[in-house]
Amino acid sequence: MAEQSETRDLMLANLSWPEVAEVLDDVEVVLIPVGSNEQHGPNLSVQMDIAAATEFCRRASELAYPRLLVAPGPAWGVSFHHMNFPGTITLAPDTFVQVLVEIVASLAEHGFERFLIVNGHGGNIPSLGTAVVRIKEEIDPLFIGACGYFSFADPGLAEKHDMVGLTGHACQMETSMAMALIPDVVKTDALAAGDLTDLMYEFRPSLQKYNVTVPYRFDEYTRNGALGDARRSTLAYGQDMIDSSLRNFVAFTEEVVEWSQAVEIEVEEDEDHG
Amino acid sequence: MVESAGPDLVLANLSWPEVRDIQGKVDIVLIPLGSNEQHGPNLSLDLDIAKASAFCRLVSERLYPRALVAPGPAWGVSFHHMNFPGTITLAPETFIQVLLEIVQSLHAHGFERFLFVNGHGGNVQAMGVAAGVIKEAVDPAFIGALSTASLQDRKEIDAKHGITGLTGHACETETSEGMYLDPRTVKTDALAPGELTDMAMEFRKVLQRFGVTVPHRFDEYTTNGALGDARNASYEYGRDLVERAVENMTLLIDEIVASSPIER
Repeated sequence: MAEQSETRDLMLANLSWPEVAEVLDDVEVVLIPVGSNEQHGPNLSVQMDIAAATEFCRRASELAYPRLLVAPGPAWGVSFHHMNFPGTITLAPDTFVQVLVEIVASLAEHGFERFLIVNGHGGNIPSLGTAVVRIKEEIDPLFIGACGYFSFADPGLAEKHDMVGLTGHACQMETSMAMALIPDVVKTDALAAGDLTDLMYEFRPSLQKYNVTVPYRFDEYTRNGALGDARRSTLAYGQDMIDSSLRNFVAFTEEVVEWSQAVEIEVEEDEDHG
Repeated sequence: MVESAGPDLVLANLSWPEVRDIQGKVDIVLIPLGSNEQHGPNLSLDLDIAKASAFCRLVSERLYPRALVAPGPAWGVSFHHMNFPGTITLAPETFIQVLLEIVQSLHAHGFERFLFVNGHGGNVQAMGVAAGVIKEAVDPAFIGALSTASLQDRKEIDAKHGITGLTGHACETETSEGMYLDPRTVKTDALAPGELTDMAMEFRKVLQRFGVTVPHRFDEYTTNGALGDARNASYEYGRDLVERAVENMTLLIDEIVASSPIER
C-alpha cells in the first residue's frame, strides 16, 4: 500500500498516544491552525476561517508526511468587530493568547520542538504577535512563528483571474479559496456582493494607506457583513491560490527547519575551535 | 534640530486649569509609543520614544490647539533586544494595560479621540491588541494606532536621497530621523554599519516575503545591534522623512475628526 501511504495526513486528533510516540521523531514542525467562528456575510458559514486553516494544514501534512503534524486549533478567535452580526463568538485577546501558550507548552512537554501557527483570520494577527512573544519567552522552543495561509499564494493571481478590486472578508478571494479547500462552507445559492457604507469607500482607503489600526465594528463598513463581490468567485482562482500556497508553504517549512538548526550547528563549530 | 513653529500642546507641561480651559478645542489626543532599547552603537536607548514624542509635539504645533500630546510610556515590548545591555522590556500584557489605563483616565476627563503614534516596530502587535481592548472597554469616539514609519512615503523620499538596501533598526533612516527630531540621541562619533548575520541576509527575507512573525532575538540578525548603515544618515534625509510624515498626519487627523463626530 505504498501509494496510499504517500497521501496520508498527520492529524494529532486522529492518533492514539502510542501512534504519537511512534511519529514524534519524524515530526519536524507542529502546525497549529487558528481562525474564528464569525459571520462571513450571506456567503460562507461562520466556521470558514478555522475550517480553511485546518484543511490547509491537513493538506500540507499530506504533502510533507510525516514531517508536519497538525494540532487541534481553537474553534474561536478574536472577533469583537463581527459581534454585531448574530452567530459570532469571540474570545478576548488574553484568552486566545493563553490558549495558544498552553497548547504549545503541552506539546513541548511531549518533546515537539518547532511550532508554526497557521492563521485564517485577519483579526487574530495582533494577538498572534503577542502570543509568539510569550511562547518564546516562557517556553523557548527551537522555533515559534505565526503566519497566514493566505500570505503564501504566488503574486499576480488576482490579475490572471480578473479578480482585482476591493477584497478582505467574505469576498471573491476568500470564497474562491473556500471553493477549493472546503466547498461545504460556501452558500452557493446566497452569494451576494458586499453592501458597503460610505465609511468603507471614503475613510478606509486613508487608513489602509497609512496602515492605521482602527477596531471598527464591521457593520460600520458593510451592512451585510461582506466585502468585495463573492458572485465573481471561481474554483479555478481558488485552486490556483491554494495550489501555489501549499507549494510555497511546504517549501517554507523546510527553511524553518534549516534555520532553526543553524544556530545549534554554529555553537558546536565554535566549541570545536576552542 | 527642527525649529519651533509656535506653541505646542504637551499635557505634561500644563496645569489642570489649563487643561480644563483648552479641552473644548482639542480634537484628538496623541499618545507617543516607543521603547528603551539598544540601537547599536549609533543611537541612545530612548531613541524610539524620543522620536515619537518629538514627532507628536511637532504635529501639535502645526495643529495648535487641536492635538494634545499625552505622556507615553518610556518602555515598550523589546524582548528581542534583551541580549544587549540597557534594554528594558514590558510584557505585552503590561504594555496593553498601561495604554488602556492612559485612555481610560483621559476619557474620564472628557477627551474622546485617541491615536497611538508609535516609533518602535516591536510594539505594533501589542498596540493593535490594545486598540481592540480599548474599543470594547472604553468605546471612545475614535481609537486608532499607527507607526510614524507608515506616514513617511519612504519609497519616494528614499529614492530622492539614494537610500537603498536593508534598513529597519539603528540604520540610516532611523539615525536621520534622530538628527532632525532630537540630535541628542545620535552618537555621531560612533556611527557604524550593521554587522549582519547570514540569517538576516537569507531567512529574514523569506519571513518578510510571506509575512511570517518570528520573535528572533536581534543578535541572531546583527552582532552589533544595528541594521543598514548609519554612516549614510543625514539631517536633510531626516527632515524630508519627518516633514512628509507631519504633512500626512495633519491630513489624516482631519479625516479622523470628520469620520467621528462628537456631540459636545
